[in-house]
Amino acid sequence: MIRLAALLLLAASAARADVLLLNDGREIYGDIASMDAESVSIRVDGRVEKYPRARTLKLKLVRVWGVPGETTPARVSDPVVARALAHPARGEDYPDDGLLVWLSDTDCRIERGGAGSCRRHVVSQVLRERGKAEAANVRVYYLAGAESASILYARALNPGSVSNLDDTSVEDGSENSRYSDYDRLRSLKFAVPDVATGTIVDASWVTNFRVDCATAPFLRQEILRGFEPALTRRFTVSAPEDFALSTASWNMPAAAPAVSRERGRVVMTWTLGPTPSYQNEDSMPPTALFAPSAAAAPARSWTRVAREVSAALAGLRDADPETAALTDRLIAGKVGDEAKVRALYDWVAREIKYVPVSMGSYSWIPKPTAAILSAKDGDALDKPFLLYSMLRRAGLKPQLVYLRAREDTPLAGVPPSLAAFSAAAVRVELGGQARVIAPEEDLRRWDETPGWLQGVQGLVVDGEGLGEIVDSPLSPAAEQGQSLRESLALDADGGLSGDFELRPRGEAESGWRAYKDWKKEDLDAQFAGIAHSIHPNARLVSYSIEGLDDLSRALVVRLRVRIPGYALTASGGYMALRVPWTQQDAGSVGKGKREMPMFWYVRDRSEARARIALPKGYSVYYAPGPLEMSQKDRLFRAGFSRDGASLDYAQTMENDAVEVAPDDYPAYKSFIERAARYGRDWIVLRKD
Amino acid sequence: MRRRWALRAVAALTLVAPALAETVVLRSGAELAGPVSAVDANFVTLADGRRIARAEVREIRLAEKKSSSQATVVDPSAAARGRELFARADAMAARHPGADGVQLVDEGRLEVRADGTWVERDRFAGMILKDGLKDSWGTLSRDFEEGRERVRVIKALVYHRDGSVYSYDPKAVVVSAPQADALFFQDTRTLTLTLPQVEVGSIVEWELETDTYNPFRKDFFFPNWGFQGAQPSYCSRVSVSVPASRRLYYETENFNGPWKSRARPRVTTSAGRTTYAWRLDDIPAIVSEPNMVPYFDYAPSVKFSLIKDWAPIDGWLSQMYVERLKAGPELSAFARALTRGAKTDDQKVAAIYHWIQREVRYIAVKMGAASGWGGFSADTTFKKRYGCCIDKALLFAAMLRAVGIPAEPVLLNPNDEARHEFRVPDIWFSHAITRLKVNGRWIFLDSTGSDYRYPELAAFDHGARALDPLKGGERDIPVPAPEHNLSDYDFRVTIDAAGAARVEFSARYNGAREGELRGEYKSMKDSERRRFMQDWANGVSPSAELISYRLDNLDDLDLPFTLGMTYRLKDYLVAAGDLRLLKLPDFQEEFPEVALARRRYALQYSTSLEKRWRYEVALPAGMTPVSVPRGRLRGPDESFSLDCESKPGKILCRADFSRARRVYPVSDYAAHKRFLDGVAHLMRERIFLKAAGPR
Repeated sequence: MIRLAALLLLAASAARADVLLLNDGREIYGDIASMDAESVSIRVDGRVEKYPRARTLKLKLVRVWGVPGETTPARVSDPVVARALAHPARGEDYPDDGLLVWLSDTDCRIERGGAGSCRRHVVSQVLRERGKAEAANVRVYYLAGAESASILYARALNPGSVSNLDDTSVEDGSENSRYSDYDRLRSLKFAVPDVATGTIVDASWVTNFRVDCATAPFLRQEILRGFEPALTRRFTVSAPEDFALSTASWNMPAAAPAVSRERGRVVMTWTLGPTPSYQNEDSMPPTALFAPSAAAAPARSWTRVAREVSAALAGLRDADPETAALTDRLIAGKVGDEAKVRALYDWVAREIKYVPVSMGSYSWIPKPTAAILSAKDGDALDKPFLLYSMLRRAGLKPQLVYLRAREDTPLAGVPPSLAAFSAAAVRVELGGQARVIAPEEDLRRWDETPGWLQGVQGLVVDGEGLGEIVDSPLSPAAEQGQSLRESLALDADGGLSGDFELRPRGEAESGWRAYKDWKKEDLDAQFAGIAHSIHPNARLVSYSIEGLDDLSRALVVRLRVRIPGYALTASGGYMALRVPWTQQDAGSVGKGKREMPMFWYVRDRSEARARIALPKGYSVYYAPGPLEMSQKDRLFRAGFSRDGASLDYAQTMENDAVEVAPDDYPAYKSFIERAARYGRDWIVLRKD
Repeated sequence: MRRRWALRAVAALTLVAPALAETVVLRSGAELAGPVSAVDANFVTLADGRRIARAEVREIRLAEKKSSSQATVVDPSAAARGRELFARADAMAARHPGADGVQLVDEGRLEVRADGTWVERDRFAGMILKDGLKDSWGTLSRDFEEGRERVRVIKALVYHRDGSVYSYDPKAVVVSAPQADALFFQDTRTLTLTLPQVEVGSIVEWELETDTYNPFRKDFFFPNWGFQGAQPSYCSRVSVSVPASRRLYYETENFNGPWKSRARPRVTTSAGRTTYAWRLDDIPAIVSEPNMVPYFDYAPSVKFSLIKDWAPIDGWLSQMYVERLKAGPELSAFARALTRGAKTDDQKVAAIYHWIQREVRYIAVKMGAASGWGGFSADTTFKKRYGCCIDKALLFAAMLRAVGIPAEPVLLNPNDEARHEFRVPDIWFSHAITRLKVNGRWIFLDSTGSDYRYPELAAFDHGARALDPLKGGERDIPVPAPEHNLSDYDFRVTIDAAGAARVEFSARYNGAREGELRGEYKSMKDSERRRFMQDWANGVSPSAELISYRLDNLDDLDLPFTLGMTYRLKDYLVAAGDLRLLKLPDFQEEFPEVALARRRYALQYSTSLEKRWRYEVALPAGMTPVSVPRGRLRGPDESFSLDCESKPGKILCRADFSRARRVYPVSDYAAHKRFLDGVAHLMRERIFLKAAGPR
């Protein structure tokens, strides 16, 4: 606290660069010296100018965010900055990188009484042009009403000069202003001036919070390696000795922090460095899943966290009279629990507009059901909570579960805290099976869990089993992907025509269901484009999407197309063609080896069956032989067969894993390449 | 509906109080109501005696009009109104099956007051037919500028078919300071209101008033109105009322077909005011098409002005630009030093052009009208090493002038926004570039980007029309001839007896394409470029092995960017009995922009295009061609040719694609589609070879 106050005092005494905005649009830059009832005086280039107060729109008192007294690089006192200035890194030592992080330091202090602050200090050296934006443009998030953020200083150090940030390139704004009911997340954004290749950018800022804030519980997780190299990344958490902290780390070479005690405080520090940069790869996992990181929160148990939420729901969990009446209406005549669940889910999914604000950006405690129903909108917590309340009213025994999404480190090991969660769902037993139901957008059927909430764990925060950790399992591959049926005819001129029928499942189905919001003419154009993507000569004859407006029904997409000149022709009476829409793509497995696993959110199975009626007078000169490959978690099977005057094709591709480890990647690469090569083969017909 | 675009955000809203208010905004975000009696070096003192440390104050607003949003009383006539609207909506929905919504009321009424300020009232009503509209029609949102504009919600109701009517809660009207995109710093406020009980089948109706009580210039009245939207509309109308002593200038666009007669307004005079009114009925919805021309290039619209010509705008801008173009001693010396080694004017310009792109990063700071349109001085941008388009254009022009090259900034809209019409003046430009005279010729350069080698400029500038405030008048930025937007590919392919292919590929580029590609590759790490190249090769054929690649002059803007790669394609020849099918590597284009059988709107590209492919394919012994593809196609200002010929032991192929035009009107679409579909089809052709025997 003392150290922080000293910094604030230092910052307060920095110089000014004010702006006087006049009603006529002019902007005068200088030092606003005074204002009285009649006029505003501003010092510009050493002389004082006066402007009538009545013609003034506003005064911006611009603060310069420097370190007082450090007006040249020689006067800089920070040892890391001084070292960077004295011995700057050479670009050729980091041939792959845009910048070098000399220091990334996060220092979180919890004080007696519950106030807390996290100070960030980052010193970067720009190595190449593309490193400028990352070094010099900063954005800090905080929750209004519970947290605050402020800049301590920010500057660019070049040979012979120090250029300080000022308010003209600082903006504090709302991240979700469009969703006024959920507008709590703010950001403080700034751009440091005078940054070039070679510049040292030195910036520090602080966020303040309270550890005991029910609506913004403290959990801080810091990632300690990133996509630019770093010499030192450090994360420190300190608290009074009698304040119990819970910590965790992932992918760290040494799991435990360095612990020290000083002046009645416990100080825990994780340090990493030097670390090289990560490189981007196709289908990479989210950074939190592979990067070294550490986290800290006030020590709790999951049981206690759950109890606190449950207690907060005391006056909320029972449906208000209007919600109760609505529930009764919706389930009237429904027999069996599953029918009730479907009826209530379909209503909540469709009728309550989804507000795409995550739990941590607004609140971990839901709104009352009356408020959700009245507004007819809800975020990733309120929509599931409404469903939860309605299911209770309907006589079921649901559980309200808070989940940690797949892009975050797994729940097991995270210090118990409400802030660990990013979404909510309802868990209910149906026919002996526990279902995890998350009514976010209106694009998924009741039994389809969004991909980012599959394969994760959650905490039961209300209902039976309070405090239990439960699983939201990965859906089987057969519940994702698609089935494709093609019924086609080839004519003697090489034209192909016929029908495609696609039955998407899971996440693929939700993608197609988004068309329900399109108007007909736009859909017409879109499907014309889909047909055109099969072949440039393709003409869309007709299309339909069955089940589009009914969340309780699976989608069936049908297209009828005509494709003149589809087959290649060559002299000698040859025609060559491929089965449309069945080729696999090997573009994502170009690399010989990988640093990171490959990652997907869901398992996947896709099948295709095609029947092509052959033109009279032609026989099959060549058709590729069958191919069957299987590896531990995947299968590809494809082959042709003759049936009278038709050629049949069947293909199955199944991927039962959501990750491929780097060691297993070469085998995966061969698998995909072989499947892709099979699709490149041609069926060749020859005129009899 | 009102539409507006500019170098900076616009609009204003305030909440409460008819009189002008003063507000002190603290660094904590809290606001204190004034008035302010004094400001000195250390304190800001309020009239009630409170003193706040100056360091804690961020801003003092002196000219603010705030008003509370009035509650809408749901009077008995609301139910009748609802019934009327439902009847209208049902009739429209029946005429437009499959619509996601129908617009029932779309009205704008603008009034220029005698004191030169103005007020706009907008009314809207629409029935929501699909879920997707619940968000956009269920949320009222309007940007505004504090101290200049005030927005008031006059009315906001939601009607249900059962007769229920829901009014909004004034407490639900929220004014916030939205965070802008990463690179923008501006002082916008937004009024947002989420309407209650919005559902599919409900009708939303609202009325909003925007009072521009403190415009920075009372003659700068430049609203516009677009009549057509994404949903079918029962009626869209706009009226502008001005004091009879003033004249309104207007310009209508795209009043075609049945709307031709509606281009002239109905003009009435009453009580010392003249009102101009336009109205269109039964307007069909806009249907999305790929590569559509921008909205104002096809939708019926009208724009207004109180001034007849561009002189006041030129004068206002020129005054700012003349001042901002003055290069101080440090900047002048720097420009001279930068160009010291240049032997020609081209080299001088190139040195400065490349320096600005590399060294001045893009950050847009817009505090008000002056920085919004006028930017910052060249000296300031030079010192800060950041700026937006106008800042960089001014810096560029100032540096050029310092070394004797005439130059000035010009304002435009990029070609993916509507082509600016100049018959009636306005200030709605969203981009600025530089016009300069080199070797006796005036050319345009855009220093906003990072990767354009002199004399290239970004494709989105091509074909745009620009305002030249310093000299007055419009300037047309030409679309380069296709050979100045060239991608030139060379392939040497060696097929072995096993059917594998070794490919040596090189590419060179010029024009905007070179700049685009340079930027893409520069943004990647070297290891990421290797992965990109490997994926590229794998896209040509699975199990490709990248042997080597090169990216030449990536970081040196003075030299052309070229690239090359060598890769091996295992099992490249596809066997079918004793036939082998050979696809020319990486020879495939798709043209999704011509997917539709017919179009309603013109089709546009960012610029012209030329591509050349040259293949030399060496065949293994014993393999002979059975058939090779060839063809020639022509379209409107475009051509494609593919010629393959067999030589002993090899096949030589060359293909040339050229498109001179940027925009294809509907009348030329069928021919253009036929041409491109034909090109895509030809490019799918294979070379058929016969081997000595089956593999």
